[in-house]
Amino acid sequence: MAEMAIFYDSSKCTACKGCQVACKQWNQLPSPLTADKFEYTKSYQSPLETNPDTWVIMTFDEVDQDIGVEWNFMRRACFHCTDAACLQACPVGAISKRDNGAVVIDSEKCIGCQYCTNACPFDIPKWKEADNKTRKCWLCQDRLANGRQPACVTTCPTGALTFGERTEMVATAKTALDEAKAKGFNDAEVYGVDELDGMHVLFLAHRGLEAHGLIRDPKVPDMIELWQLLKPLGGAAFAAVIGGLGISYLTGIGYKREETDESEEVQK
Amino acid sequence: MQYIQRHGKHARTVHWFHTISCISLFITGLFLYVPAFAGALSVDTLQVGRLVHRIAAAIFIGIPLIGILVKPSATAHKLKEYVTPWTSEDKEFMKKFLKYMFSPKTTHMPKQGRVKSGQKLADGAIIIFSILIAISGAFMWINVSPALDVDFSQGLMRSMYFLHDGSMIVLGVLLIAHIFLGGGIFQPYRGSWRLMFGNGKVSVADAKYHWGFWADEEIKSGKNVTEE
Ligand code: SF4
Ligand code: SF4
Repeated sequence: MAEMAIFYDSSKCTACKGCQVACKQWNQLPSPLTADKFEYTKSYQSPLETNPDTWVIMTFDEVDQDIGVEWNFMRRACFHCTDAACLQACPVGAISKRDNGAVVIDSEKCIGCQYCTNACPFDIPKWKEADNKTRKCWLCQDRLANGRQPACVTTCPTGALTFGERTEMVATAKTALDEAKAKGFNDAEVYGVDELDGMHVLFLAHRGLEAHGLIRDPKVPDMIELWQLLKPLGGAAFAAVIGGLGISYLTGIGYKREETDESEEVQK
Repeated sequence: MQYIQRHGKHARTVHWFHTISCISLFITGLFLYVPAFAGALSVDTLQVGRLVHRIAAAIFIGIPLIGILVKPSATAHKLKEYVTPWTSEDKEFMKKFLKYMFSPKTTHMPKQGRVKSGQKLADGAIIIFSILIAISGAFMWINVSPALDVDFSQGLMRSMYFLHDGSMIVLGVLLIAHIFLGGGIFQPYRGSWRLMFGNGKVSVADAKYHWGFWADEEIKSGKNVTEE
């Protein structure tokens, strides 16, 4: 199957949060059922962060301008990175990369260790205490398998979200960039084409990456890479010490203490 | 035959606890360290492994802490054995150690005190890396304990994962070497397992071979020498 991608165009987004709701509805992600469980965020951004039952949120970067408040919207969810830190960190192989590019957590295999939540450079996966599992966007694999688009894309009323083969989405993003620049958005940038070896959610940030809260040049954290290096290193160290001691044992076969060469005197 | 009491009941009991906790920690830790193990085991088995790992960790950390609290002066006395100045015999021991390991039949080792110089280095490393693995493990445990509701930063936790696994490798290598020597698999150390898993006594001949200076002192005082 070809690699697929979502393209999000911030210049077309009105932050209606239709995608946020559609995701919860399709994936059966409950909201708090008691009124006092709703956090008051003092912002249109609600909740402030993704959580185990909210896999996509719209972020509202509110900037005070002379004309009033100006918003820079952004879609915050898993980026489905090719070089995925979460996948490297998972000790039980619960996270896999699908042929279509999606990075998916298998709930059946997840043990809730939260290594992935600490490894992700974007702090996306979130752990759920109730079932001791970590959860995040899975790029609607059930819908894709049946020839449908992700729920968030289907519901977007303004065309800010589109979905298709990744090569096509890259071309669409580049065209959108040219259009944004032509409209006077000189800081406009495309995100996700090359970052982390290519993401499967691409972006046009029409006021620039920082204005929309995107991390420039994200990397798999050095400490995660070093940590993963310890696995082969540790294996080599154990093999070397067991091999070395095995040789030592072989050289000692037939050893009798009284026959030990006593000719070497201690050098004082 | 004459014997010297090298380890008392207290030391041997602590060693038993540490043997069981270390081996449990090592095996259950490997569940998550070796991807092939993790892939082969069911989620339930892995969860039991995580629980056993924590219980064993509590014993591993708790036993020495209790020892320090109950007998602080004895702990200080034990630690002092490690910070003695290095004698010419100690230096000689270290120089010859590798040759000894691969050619025990032709290597005569110099006399040693109660703690061999090689053991001083190995035990020093064990103490340092045990503290590191305990601290990093405690952070990892607290971080996933809902009851404590603590949210450490991602950067801190990434460092703790690295520290925990790195310390495990150093301790694992030292543990394998310790079993080889202390367990008496290495021919010149034959029978030394009895020091911790038996009655804690060493024959005078063995004591003179391994810890000559210490054996001389013990024979002179006669306090711990028995005839059997
Ligand atoms: S954004 Fe985070 S959770 Fe998603 S694939 Fe990348 S590293 Fe994994
Ligand atoms: S929480 Fe689950 S998915 Fe994340 S690293 Fe642990 S086992 Fe893997």
